[in-house]
Amino acid sequence: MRAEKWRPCSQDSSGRNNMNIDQTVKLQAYLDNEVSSAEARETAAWLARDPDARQLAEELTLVKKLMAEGEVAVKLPESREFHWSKIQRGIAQVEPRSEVRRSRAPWWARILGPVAAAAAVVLLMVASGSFDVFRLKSVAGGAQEIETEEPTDDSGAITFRSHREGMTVVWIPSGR
Amino acid sequence: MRQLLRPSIIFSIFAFSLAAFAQSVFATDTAFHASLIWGTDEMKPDKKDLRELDPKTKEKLKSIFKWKNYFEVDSQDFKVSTNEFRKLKMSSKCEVEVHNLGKDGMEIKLFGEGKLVKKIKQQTPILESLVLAGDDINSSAWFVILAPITK
Repeated sequence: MRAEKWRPCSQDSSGRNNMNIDQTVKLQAYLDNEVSSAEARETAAWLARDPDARQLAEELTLVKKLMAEGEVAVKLPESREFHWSKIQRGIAQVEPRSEVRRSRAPWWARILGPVAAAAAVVLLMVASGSFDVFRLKSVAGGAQEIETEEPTDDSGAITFRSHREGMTVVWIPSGR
Repeated sequence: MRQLLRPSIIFSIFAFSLAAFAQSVFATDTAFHASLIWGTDEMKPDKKDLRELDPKTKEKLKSIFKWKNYFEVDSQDFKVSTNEFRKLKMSSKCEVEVHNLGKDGMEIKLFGEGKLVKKIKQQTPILESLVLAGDDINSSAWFVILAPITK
């Protein structure tokens, strides 16, 4: 019965609580009322004759009690079903509105919108003088030069500004 | 629909032409002082054709960078009009191209031995010195300074 010993961390210097895993699991199951009546009787008899088993049973009972008392009960503000039903209602409220909007808009209005937006962009570009691309083409004679968009702080280079000296520095490490 | 769009197209063409004309009339030159500088902890070498850097710029560089000595390899004053660019040969290996984008700022391309090393676009016009720099052999460094010339 005790051929294979298990030494729990609660073992004291006298060598008590020397039980294997199967015995401990069996005892735990007994305390949790998860054993049959025959096994319960057998375990009760074992507890009556084995002080180590009784001590372990007391420890396990104490741990179980402390866990039950120490765990803070958290009450959800609302049930999961109610939470998801709110999301479903939100989706249901948005979807019909967009359908109505699509169905009410006439075909020409749907075309006019993008056209007006494109015209506005062109007018804005013209007003701000952002048409140097065309000028550059005539000067450089090629489309390769029309690559003007690039961040100053891309990988490899360090950009910083010295307020005191009024200098903006772009440091390009060697190897670039 | 065609009747609706036709005035818009005509107006767009008119506005575009007007803005193009205005830009060409009011295009202004921006003046810069470009200089290529070599920074080192060593003393000035005898063989190299290097000039002493003006004390003001030298102090500025010394306050930012670690090198003790700074010598001018080349410097040029130039002007670049809106929507035009200038390419400057600062040394046998170093070239700088400055593109004046007007309200959109400036684009600067740095070439090393004919190859594009770095392209920088500054969103606003350059109102203060812009320094492109990097480390060089023997723990030295190079600096290309573009400083706007204010009237």
